[in-house]
Amino acid sequence: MKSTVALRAGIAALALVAGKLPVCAETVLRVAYQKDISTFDPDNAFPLYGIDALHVIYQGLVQYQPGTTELTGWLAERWSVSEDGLTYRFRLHDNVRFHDGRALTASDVLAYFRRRKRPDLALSYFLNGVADMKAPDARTFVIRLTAPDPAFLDRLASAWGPKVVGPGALVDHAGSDHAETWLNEHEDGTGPYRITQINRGQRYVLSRNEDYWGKRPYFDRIQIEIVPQMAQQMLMLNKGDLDLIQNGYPFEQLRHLPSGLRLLVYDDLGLEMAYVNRSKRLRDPTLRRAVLTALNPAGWLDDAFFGFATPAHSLYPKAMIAAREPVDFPSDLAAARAIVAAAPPVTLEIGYGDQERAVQQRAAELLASALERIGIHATLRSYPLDQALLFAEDLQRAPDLYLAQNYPDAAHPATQTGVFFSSTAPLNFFGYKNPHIDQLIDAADRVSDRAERDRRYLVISQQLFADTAFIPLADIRDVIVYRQGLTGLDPRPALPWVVDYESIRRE
Amino acid sequence: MFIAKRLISLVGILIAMTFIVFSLQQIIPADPVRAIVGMNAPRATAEARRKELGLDQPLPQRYGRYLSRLAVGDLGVSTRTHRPVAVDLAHFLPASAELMLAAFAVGITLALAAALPNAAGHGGNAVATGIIAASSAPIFLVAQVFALILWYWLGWFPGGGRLGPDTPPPDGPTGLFVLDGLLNGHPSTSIEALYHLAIPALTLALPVAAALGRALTSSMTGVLRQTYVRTARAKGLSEFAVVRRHVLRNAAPVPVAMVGLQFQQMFMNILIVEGLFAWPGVGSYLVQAFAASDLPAILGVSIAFGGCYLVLAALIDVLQALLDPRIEAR
Repeated sequence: MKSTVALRAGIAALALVAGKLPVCAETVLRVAYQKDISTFDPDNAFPLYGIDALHVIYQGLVQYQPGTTELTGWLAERWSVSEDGLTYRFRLHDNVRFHDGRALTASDVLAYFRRRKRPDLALSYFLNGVADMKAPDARTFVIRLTAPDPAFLDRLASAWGPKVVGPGALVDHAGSDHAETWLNEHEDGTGPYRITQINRGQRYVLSRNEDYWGKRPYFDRIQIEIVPQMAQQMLMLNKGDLDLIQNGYPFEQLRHLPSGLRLLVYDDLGLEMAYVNRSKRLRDPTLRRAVLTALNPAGWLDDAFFGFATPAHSLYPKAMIAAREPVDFPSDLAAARAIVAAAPPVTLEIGYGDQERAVQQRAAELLASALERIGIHATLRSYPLDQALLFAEDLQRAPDLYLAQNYPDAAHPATQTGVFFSSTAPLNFFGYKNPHIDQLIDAADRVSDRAERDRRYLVISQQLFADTAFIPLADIRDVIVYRQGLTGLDPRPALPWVVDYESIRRE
Repeated sequence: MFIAKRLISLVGILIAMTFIVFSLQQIIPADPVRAIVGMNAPRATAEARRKELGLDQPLPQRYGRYLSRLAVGDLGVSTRTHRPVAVDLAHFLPASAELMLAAFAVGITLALAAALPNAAGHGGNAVATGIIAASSAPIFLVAQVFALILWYWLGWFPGGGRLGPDTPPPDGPTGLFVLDGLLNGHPSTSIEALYHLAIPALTLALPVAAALGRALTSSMTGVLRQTYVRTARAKGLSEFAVVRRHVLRNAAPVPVAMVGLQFQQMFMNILIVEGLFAWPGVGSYLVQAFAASDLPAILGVSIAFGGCYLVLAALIDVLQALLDPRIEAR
């Protein structure tokens, strides 16, 4: 008994001397990432963790409005597009300053965009269609494209789109690598926060930019902790050591949140799809139709996502194109069973992505169970995304179906077709090629009128589904869990897992 | 001569290890280029980057280039953090080193506490029973139970990280926060660092304590039966003096040899424990490097830990030779 008392007293004394856990100030927002931030260079990495930080350190010309995929000005006060669709003219705000105090000019924007276009930078491809850029005066920046691209503004507003870096980096610290090294650990943006502490692998602190040109944000500091385990993040949130969890809170636990926690549920651009390998067992269209009958998401969706997903309406997420009706899956299970029974015994391999692996595995297990009901045995295997990219090299060794939730670059449907469905799309995992579909995509990519554009893209979706090359399954909703009292989280569908630190506040 | 031989074999083993890791990366179907340019980048962009990094060249050529750079201490640049791997290691290794040192210190203390009463014939004790029980469970489970009880419920210790958010990391020179706090005149930083070390170090220490405790108990039991121990007692030495002067020294070679094995085991365990306690060490770094197919980082960590292990193994050989001159003679 005595030793227990002594132990507790010792620990209490230690805690007192060490300051124990700090009592966080009202105006510090504490968040956590499961993975470390790779770099603060907005042009040289494709991160999922850190987009929210980059979004308040740097700013681009245009951005998406909160809760929508509508575009609005950011550093650009307004813009115009020439009639031929080739020239974009941006008028910049006139009171913007970089974090080092220098005023933003169109020349700075030009210098930055020239850097972004350097082919040795990872994200230069966002400006692939740019022919020429100029800054005719201090407030005007002009971009000329090689061909009309109605998706161009969306590419600029993308989570990974260009965000202007100032001369404090590109001139003063350019070094021999155009500031690549310097920008790993520093920044010179125009946003409402600046980096004030980098402790790799553990913690990053963003502090309010008191000279910010826009509305003053509420929080003095944003404290980002690197906490790899979701279980620990959940305990920290319950205990009050975190203010919110932006993604990854297990769906199955969302219905029983501890008191004091709140949910914000919103649609993003992640669409759950099954990619079909039509070169192996599923080369027979009749068998593919039987498989479609079994995969009908109406039968398993709630079990997989606990009510946080809805049946897909097309091969585009609802936040991108709002098709009226869910995809029409065949529903005659008896007919499907008869098809399978008439064929030689079928065993399929279902591969699934390793991002949000637990969710994907659960969905794959439910699909396997659904296939079992029509007499098809299925085996399961997880494939990291970069392994899935090699499927097309040897289709006979690839799985028969690949289940994944992937994100396009932006909210324009051209970024969905360009990434997943065209013959040259990088995430066209099984190398589906259809010249007719490519022609339809090329034609749709040139249409500016939104209604007509969406109509054309939906025709493409229907044809791809009819070919059973890609199966749209579900729009999985994103969930932010936060402590009661926060408001103004303002997520945007096109920015995965991003809470807007500029607008968030305590009630 | 003995040490020189060990050093030469150490270099050979390290080179062989780089070859194995390099070849494994070639076999594993993962694409580091996609980790850099993103999955959505056009194929042409990815291929251009692959060429720029020299990843389109044959394996022997790439390996040769890697070795030539390694010879001058260049471990390459991490494709994930965009920093030289050597810089990353200098940042992350001290955190792991501090955690492992603390774990070894706790583990050895617990092992002694468990072994001494047992060997002295006082039978089993609560410490030994507790250690064996706790180390029988998987380490991730032990870690979570400790975190749940000592951090979440009781609030006695922090649940993760090396320092609290309001304490700036000390400015070197070692990267071991407990030591650096003292060297920089900030004892409160050292205490806070110790406070953060408590749960992860205890978790890592249990398997060490169990293994060393058993080895020491068994070894001491044998030594205690030796005639020179009986002679020492007959001379009138106190039991403490007998154990300290005659028993521990002669019983030490077996547990000392086991320290090398425990280091290897502990390296595997920190991959789990660092993640569970948000400890910014080389284990967490390696796990993220694997997820991003970051070959330079994986190789760098392998070389660093392989080197540490081999140096430790050599030190243990030397220590054993000092403890028992017959080993060197052999």
